Amino acid sequence: MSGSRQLRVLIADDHPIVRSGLRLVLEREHDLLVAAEAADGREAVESMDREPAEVAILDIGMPGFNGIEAAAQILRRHPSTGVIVLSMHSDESYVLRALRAGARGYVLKESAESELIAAIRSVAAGRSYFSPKVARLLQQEHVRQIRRSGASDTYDLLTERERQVLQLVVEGNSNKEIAAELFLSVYTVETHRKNILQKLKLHGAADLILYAVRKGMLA
Amino acid sequence: MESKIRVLLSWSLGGLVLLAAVAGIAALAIFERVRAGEHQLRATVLDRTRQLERIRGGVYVSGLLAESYFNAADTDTLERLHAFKQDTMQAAAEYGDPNLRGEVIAWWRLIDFMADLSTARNKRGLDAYFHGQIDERRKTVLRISAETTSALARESERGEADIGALYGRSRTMLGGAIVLVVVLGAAAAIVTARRLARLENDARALSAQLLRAQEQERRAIARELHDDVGQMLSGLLLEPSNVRRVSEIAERAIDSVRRLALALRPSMLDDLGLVAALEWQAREVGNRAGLEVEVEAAESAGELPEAQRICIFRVAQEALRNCARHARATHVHVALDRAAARVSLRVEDDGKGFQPARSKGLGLLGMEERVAQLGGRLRIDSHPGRGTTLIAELPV
Repeated sequence: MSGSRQLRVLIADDHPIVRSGLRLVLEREHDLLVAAEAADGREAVESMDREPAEVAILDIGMPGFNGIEAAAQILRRHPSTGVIVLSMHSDESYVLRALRAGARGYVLKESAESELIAAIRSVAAGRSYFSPKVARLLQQEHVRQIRRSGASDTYDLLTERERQVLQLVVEGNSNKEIAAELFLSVYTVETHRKNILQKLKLHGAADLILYAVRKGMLA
Repeated sequence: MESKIRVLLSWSLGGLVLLAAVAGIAALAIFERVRAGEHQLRATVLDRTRQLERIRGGVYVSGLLAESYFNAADTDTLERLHAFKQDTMQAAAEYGDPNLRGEVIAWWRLIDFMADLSTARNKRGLDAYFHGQIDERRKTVLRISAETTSALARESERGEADIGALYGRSRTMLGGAIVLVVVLGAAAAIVTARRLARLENDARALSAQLLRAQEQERRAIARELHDDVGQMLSGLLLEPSNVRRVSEIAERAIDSVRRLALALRPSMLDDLGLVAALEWQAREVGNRAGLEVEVEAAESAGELPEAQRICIFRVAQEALRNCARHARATHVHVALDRAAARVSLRVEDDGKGFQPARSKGLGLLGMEERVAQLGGRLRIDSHPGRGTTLIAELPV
C-alpha cells in the first residue's frame, strides 16, 4: 500500500451533506486520504488525539464548540497540523480570528473545489493559503480604510530588505530558511522581523499574515 | 383608552385625598366637642364642691357659734347664726339632694332650740379668758377653711387652663398635619398621573414603532427573497446544463442569502463573540457612511452571557446607526469595558449633538428599554455642537 505517502486529512462540519461532498472531492485526489470526519469541534479535537491527521479542515459555525476554538486546541496539542478554516464568511473578523487561532488556510465554502485542494497542499507544505476572493475583499477594505483615515501607508516605512524578509515570512519560511535565502545571519533576520512588527504596529504572526493578505502579498 | 385611565387614576387619587381631608376635619370636630363636654363637667363639679363647702363650713362654724351663744348669749352671735342658717339652707336647696336638705333642716332646728334655751336660762357670764379663746380659735378655723377652699378653686382653674392650652396646641398640630397630607397627596397624585400618562405614551409609541419596524423588515426580507434569491434560482432552471453559468448563479445566491442572514443577526455574535461582532458592525457602518469608526475592546471583555451580549450589540448597532444618520460625525469611538460585576459600552462621536432631554427619539427609547430589562443604565451626554457620548452599563 502507498497509504503512508498519502496526506491524511480530517474533515469537521456539522452538516453531513457537506462532509460527504468534501470526502468525494478529496478522495478523487490520489495523494489525499480522509482520515476522519467530525460533526463538531469537540469531536474534531478527540479524533485528532486518536489518529492525528496532517491537515484539519474545520467549519467555523458548529454547535457548542466552534471551529476556531477547535483550531486553537488542535494546534496546542499537535503544533505541526496544517489547519484550514472552511467558512462562508469573507469578513475580516473571521479571517483575523482564524489566523490568531493558528489556522494557515482560509477557504470560502463557495469557492471552487480546486481551491480547497490547493489549500491542503499549501498548508501541508507549511505555507499559507487564502481564497482569492477573501484576499481581494481584505485588500479593498484595507485601501478603503487608509483612504478614509487619511493616514499614510505604513508599508512605505519598510526598507527594501525588510520587505524581502516580510515576503518570505508570510510565505511560511522559518528564520533559518530566510537567513539562507538572503545570505544573512539568523540573528539579523530576527531583528528585521522585530522592526517590521514595530513599524507596521502589529503584534504577532497572525497580524502579520493578515497584513500580508491585505497588501496582496499572498495568493 | 389612555385618557380613560388617566381620568380614572386622577379621580381615585383625588378621592383618596378628599377622604383624608374629610376624616381629618371630622376628627377635629369630635375632639372639640369632647373638650367642651369635659369643660362643662369640670365646671359643674367645681360648683357643687363649692356648695358642699358652704354647707360644711356653715354647719361647722354655726356649731361653734351655738356653743359660745349657749355660754354667753349676745345678739351679735345670734345674728351671725341667723346668717349662716340662711346661707346653708339656700345652698342645701340649690344642691337638691333631699337627704342633705333634711339633715340641714334638722341641724338648724337643734341650733334654734339651743339658742332659745340659752336665752331663757340667762346664764351667768363665762369667764373672759375662755370666751376669748373660743373666739380666737373660731376665727382661725374660719380663715384657714376659707383659704383652703379658694386655693383649691384656683388650682383647679389653673389646671383647666393648662389642659385648654395643651388641647389648643394639639389641635393646631393636627390641623397642620392634615393640611400637609392633603397638599402632599394632591402633589403626588398630579405627578403620578402625569408620569403615568407619559410612560403610557412612550410605550405606545415604542410598540407602534416596533411593529412598523418589524413589518418593514419582513417586507424587505420577502422582497429580497423573491426578487433576488428567487430570480436566481429560477435562472438555474432555465439553463441547467451550462455548468459555468450554474455555479456563477449559485455563488450569487449564496451571497444574497448570507447578506440576508447577516442583516437579521450577525453570525459573528455566535461564532466569534461580541468584540468581533462590534468590529464588524463598525466596519459596516464606517464603509456605508464614510465614517472613521474605532473599536477599543479586549477580546475578554466580550465574554458575556447571551442576553447581555445581544443587548450590548444592539445598543451599539443603534448608536452607530444614529451617528451615521443624524450626527454628521466624522469620527466615532466605541469602547467596551469589563469590570468585576459590570460591563459598560461607550459610543462617542464628534457630530453635531442634540438635547437629549428634549428630543429623545424612539431609537433611544428602544435602547433604554433593552438596557433597563437587564437592570442596567443608559446615559446620554450631548449638547448641540459638542458631539454625543452614550454609555450603557449592565450588571453581569
